[in-house]
This record gives sequence, structure tokens and C-alpha cells, in this order.
Amino acid sequence: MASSSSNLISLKTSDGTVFKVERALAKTMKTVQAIIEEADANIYMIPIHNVFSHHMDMIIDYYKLSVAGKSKEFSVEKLDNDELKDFLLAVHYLNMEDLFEVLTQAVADRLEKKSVGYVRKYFGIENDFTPEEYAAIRKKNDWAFKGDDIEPEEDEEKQEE
Amino acid sequence: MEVPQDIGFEIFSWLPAKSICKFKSTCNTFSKFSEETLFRKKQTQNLFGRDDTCLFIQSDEVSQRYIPKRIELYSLPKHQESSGAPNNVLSFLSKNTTSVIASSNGLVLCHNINDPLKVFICNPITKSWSFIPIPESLQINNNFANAKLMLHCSLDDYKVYFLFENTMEWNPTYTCSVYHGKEGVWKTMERCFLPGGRDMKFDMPVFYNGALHFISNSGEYYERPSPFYKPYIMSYNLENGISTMFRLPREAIRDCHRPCNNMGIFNWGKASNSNGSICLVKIRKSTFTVWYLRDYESCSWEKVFKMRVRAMGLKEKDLDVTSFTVVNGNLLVFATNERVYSCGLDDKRFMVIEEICQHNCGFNPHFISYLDTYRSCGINAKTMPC
Repeated sequence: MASSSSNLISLKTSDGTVFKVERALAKTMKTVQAIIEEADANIYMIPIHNVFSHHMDMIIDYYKLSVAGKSKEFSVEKLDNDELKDFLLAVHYLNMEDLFEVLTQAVADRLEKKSVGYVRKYFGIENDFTPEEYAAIRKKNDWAFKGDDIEPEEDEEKQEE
Repeated sequence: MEVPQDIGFEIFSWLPAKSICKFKSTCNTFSKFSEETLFRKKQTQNLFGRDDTCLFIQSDEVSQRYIPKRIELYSLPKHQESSGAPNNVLSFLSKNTTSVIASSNGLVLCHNINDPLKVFICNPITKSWSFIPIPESLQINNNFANAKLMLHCSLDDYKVYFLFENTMEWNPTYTCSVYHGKEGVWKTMERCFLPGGRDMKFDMPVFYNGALHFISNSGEYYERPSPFYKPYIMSYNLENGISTMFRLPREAIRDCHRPCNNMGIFNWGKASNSNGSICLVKIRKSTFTVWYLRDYESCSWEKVFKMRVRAMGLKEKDLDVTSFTVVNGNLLVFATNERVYSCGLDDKRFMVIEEICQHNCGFNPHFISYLDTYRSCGINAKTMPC
């Protein structure tokens, strides 16, 4: 029997906290929605991996603001870059379109003026260019590295050695 | 924790083009994002409607004939150079007697000063350009050297407006032909633009509320009770071609018959939200005053800013302000003989003065704001030879 009688869905975060959320909010999480639809019996509790309770708090804040038409007031200013990244990954896992777009924008703003080295670390990627390829791509885009406020490249100093 | 590639794609699509070019050096996969059509479309859309981050500064067209043509691009304050365009493209345009006329969502409308039929749209980031094909019929009947050009971009199309003067009339009228970028077609408006008795300042068009607005010049050409006695704004409805006169604030025009008067109109606030409107900037006796049109229908203005140039704490002693503009509907940008400055007009940066650059563009530099995107130049787009 479908759980149409209950308006609340129980979600259990990675750190063991149970959140009872409105069905409408659960609907914005496509991952959760898929789990509900696949289950033929009444689903009692949905575990959401990679999502912690502090993420759920912010998700609920965002939901409340957007229902009130105030989604522009939602801010992630207080999160540092790594916290923001974790939150983005959690929202990506839950497949929440609107909030995901807000967060990718916020991350882009944070990364805009950072160095190439910082961005590699942030994404967990390796420099997989050969030295010739790297030199060519650096040269071609040299103009993009000019600017007082841009973080200097650490690996550049190394390359000059 | 590692971030999946598809998330990287999404994040990058929110960056200005210069940052994207910089981050090509991170790894192979990321370096290829900006080559994909889908990425370019996304980035263009994501940045549509965002504030412009840079400023083209060039000398006015009269000076351009005598001094070496130079197109310079500088960052606006706050954007501190995470936005820009490749220098070799700017040099290429400079060397080829090009004049930048307008820019929107990353597209730049240019024409060749020495060959007015060469009008093109380009994107300095993608290094592509598209020349606007001018039909023979238009060439025969019109003087392209004196055509007034304007650019308007919507999300998926751009239009270039050409105003041609019909000189047979006592009070000149203008025929408007529009080139639609997406389809590559020309359409001529049925009704001409009737600017009235005064000359219009065609170099500062304001697109607002479905109409083009221009401010007239000042000066003692008329006597009462002529309707053109005082300067005015004339709008041209782009749907039905009707020209409508708007009066200016009383305070702005009461002394307009004396010299040393300079006024301009610009977009005010953000068009996207209901705060969008038109503003009037006047400089007289080294004092800037700004009004905005609080109510369009009743034509009522409200003064929002007044500041003496001397009170701005500028470096030079010789504070002769030459040209000015309002960028992004909230930033006053003006030039002295040596430098270009900005002054905030909105709540966040009200009366905050910052220096943008020193300029070499002579007496009356011309400003056009720009935002670096990967927007396509449309059909006929070719790679620029630079």
C-alpha cells in the first residue's frame, strides 16, 4: 500500500539523525522520490548516504525560503570552500535541481580568482598534461593569467627552476 | 573528496570566459569543456543578464582618424581582472581601424571606420566574427557612413538596428532597418523615427520597455512656444514605430541654454526586476546630478545623486570631466583628461569612488561595457585571422 496517508517522509542521514520532512520537500529530491516510487510496500525510513544532518538543516532552510518566494535570501556565505563542496556533493547525490544550480554558482564565485593549483586540489584532479602540452596551453592562454588580484600560481615558480 | 567531472562542467559554466581559459591548464578533460557547443550555450545563458565586468575604452571616431586607433579593455572595480579578452584580438581590432559600437552578453558590434559597409559582430573569446551582409537595395538608398547602429541581445537572438537619415525633410526623420542575427534577415520598420527638431545623441541609445530612447542635444535653436525649445527625450517604439516625446526634469533643463552643459541617458537598475528604468546624468560646473524615471507613464523623475567632482578626492589637479556613462544601471563611469573613474550609484557602493585606469584616448573617450562569454556569433561566423 502506498504511503499516501502520511504527509511526512522519514530520512536518515549518514550520522544517524532522522528527519521527518514534508512530502513536497522529498519530491524535490529526485533520488529519494525514485526510492519511494520503486518501493511497493510502505517505506518506513529512507537512508540518505553522503548527506549529514547539517546538510539537511540547510536543505530545509532553502526549502522554506523558496516556498515563501524568498529563495534569493538563501546564503552559503558562512560555509568555507570545503564545506561548500561537501554540501554541493550531498545535494548532487539527492539530485535536487534548483538547489544544485544555486550551489554550483556559489562554488564558481569562490573559484573564479583562485590559482590553477588550488582548483586541481579542490576537484581532486591531477595535471595529466605532458610538459610540452602544459607549456603550449599555458602560452595560448597567457592573457588569462594577467591580473593583479589573481592568486599567483605555485607551480609556476617551480617550473622556472 | 573528489568532485565528479560532470559537476566540474556545471561549475565552470558559471565562470566568466577568462577564468575558464585560465583553468584549461588544470587537466586535459577540463581544458576541453569550452570546445563543446553545449558548454558554450550553457555559459552564455548562465551569464545572460549578469553585470558587465569590463570596459572598452576608445577615442571618439573623430579623433580616431588622426591618432593611432587603440582599443583598450579594462576591468571594472570588484571584477578585478577575472574577466577580460585576449590581447592579440584587441590588437588586431585596433590595427584594422575598427571601432567598437556596442556590446551585449559577450558579443561585440564593430564597424570599420574607413569602410562603413564592413559591419560585424565578433566574440573576442571564441575569436569568431560574422559580417553583416548589407543588401544592395539598402546600400543604394542609404548613406552607411552616417548610419547610427545599435545592438540588442535576447537570450537566443541578436538584432542590429540601423537608423538612416532621410535628409529631404526640414526636420530629419530616420528609417529603421533591423538585421536579425539568428535568421540572417533584414526587416525595415514601417514607420520612421521622428526625433523632432533637435539632433539626437545616437551614441547613447537606451533600450527600455520595448522602445529605443534618445536624448536630444541642448543649445539655443528654438524660441518659445516651440515644443523643441527645451531638450527632451524621444522614444521609438520598436513594435509599432511610434515616436513619443518625454520631458526631462525641470531642474535639469532650466539652465540648458547656457554652454558647459552635458547630459546623457542610460539604463537604470536591473531590467530583470521591476526596478529597471532610465536615468539622466547631467554634468554642469563640475557637479554630477543623476535623476531616474520613477514613473514611465507620467514621466516623473526623482533626483537620486548629486556630487561635486572636487569632493571625489581624485588624483589630478585638472578636473575637467570629459565623457561619462552609467554601466550596469548602477555605476557612473567618467573620464578626466588622464584617468577613468567609477562612482557607485546604488545602495551597496553609493558614492564610492574608484580608479579604473589611466587612458590614452584623448579628449572624449567612448565607453562600452563588456562581459566575456562564449556566445556564438550566429550564422556566417568565421574565425578571426589573429
